[in-house]
Amino acid sequence: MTTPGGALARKVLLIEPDGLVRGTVASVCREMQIAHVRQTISVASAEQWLKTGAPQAVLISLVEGDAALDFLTRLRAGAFRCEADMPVVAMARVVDAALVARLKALDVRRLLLQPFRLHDVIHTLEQLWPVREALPA
Amino acid sequence: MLFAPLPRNEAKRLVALRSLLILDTAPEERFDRISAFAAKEFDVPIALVSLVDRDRQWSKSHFGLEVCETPRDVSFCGHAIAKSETLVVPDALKDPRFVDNPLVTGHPFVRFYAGAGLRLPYGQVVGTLCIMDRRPREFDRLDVAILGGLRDMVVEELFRREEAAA
Repeated sequence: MTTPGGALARKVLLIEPDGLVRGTVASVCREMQIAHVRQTISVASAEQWLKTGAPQAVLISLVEGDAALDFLTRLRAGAFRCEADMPVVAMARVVDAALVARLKALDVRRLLLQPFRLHDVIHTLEQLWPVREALPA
Repeated sequence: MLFAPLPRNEAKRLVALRSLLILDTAPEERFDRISAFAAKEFDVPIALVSLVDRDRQWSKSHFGLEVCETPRDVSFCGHAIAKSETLVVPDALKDPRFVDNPLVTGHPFVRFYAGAGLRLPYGQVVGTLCIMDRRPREFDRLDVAILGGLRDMVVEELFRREEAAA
């Protein structure tokens, strides 16, 4: 289950207002050596961190609605100093067809419907990086 | 039934526990939320934030149990605090430490137990975040890590209280 050497060098930007989910995901990712999770409570604080930080994936709660979707739009447009095409996982309490269509357009890799189990979040993060990383060069 | 060994630092452990000023206080949503979250995450009927006092186990939060206190000598958590890693009992009826424990042979009929120690920054383990089920279960490495992550949140809350009281 653990990814090979250097896994903790990978940074995941987590945007989630719920401290229990945020803290536990970060703790489990550290313990399982999946990735280093940068915790932020809002899109605004994530944007602040992105002025200097460069994650390799984003896990974002859509609780902020349009602000979250606008953030993803700017991310895909290359507005930040990280890779514009990095994997993105979204978490939402409710979805409709319009939201799903917009997330697809934003190339969101996976949508996790809340309430979810942390097991699902961790398994999703583990699967973000291709298996080829586990193969010898 | 085998009684739990006393931790080597039992006297200091009790001092650390009591200095938290949390024993016999009222339930609090911030702890209840974690125990309810753990019960749901692992799909178990019982989850506790338990503190092991000299002669008793007292639960600051007790999801799925009416009672908040049991004698220490029958407590699963009494065993858990003596270990450096999470205590996992997949089937109490197959474990000589617990096979004739009254919590196993009678209410609440515990078969499965997993408890992650609440280790304070200065080393003492004052209790556990634990989950119990009435059926045997397996518990893998990810399960242990998630229970440990939730345990870390409990420890954080214990110290938030200390900071608030200071």
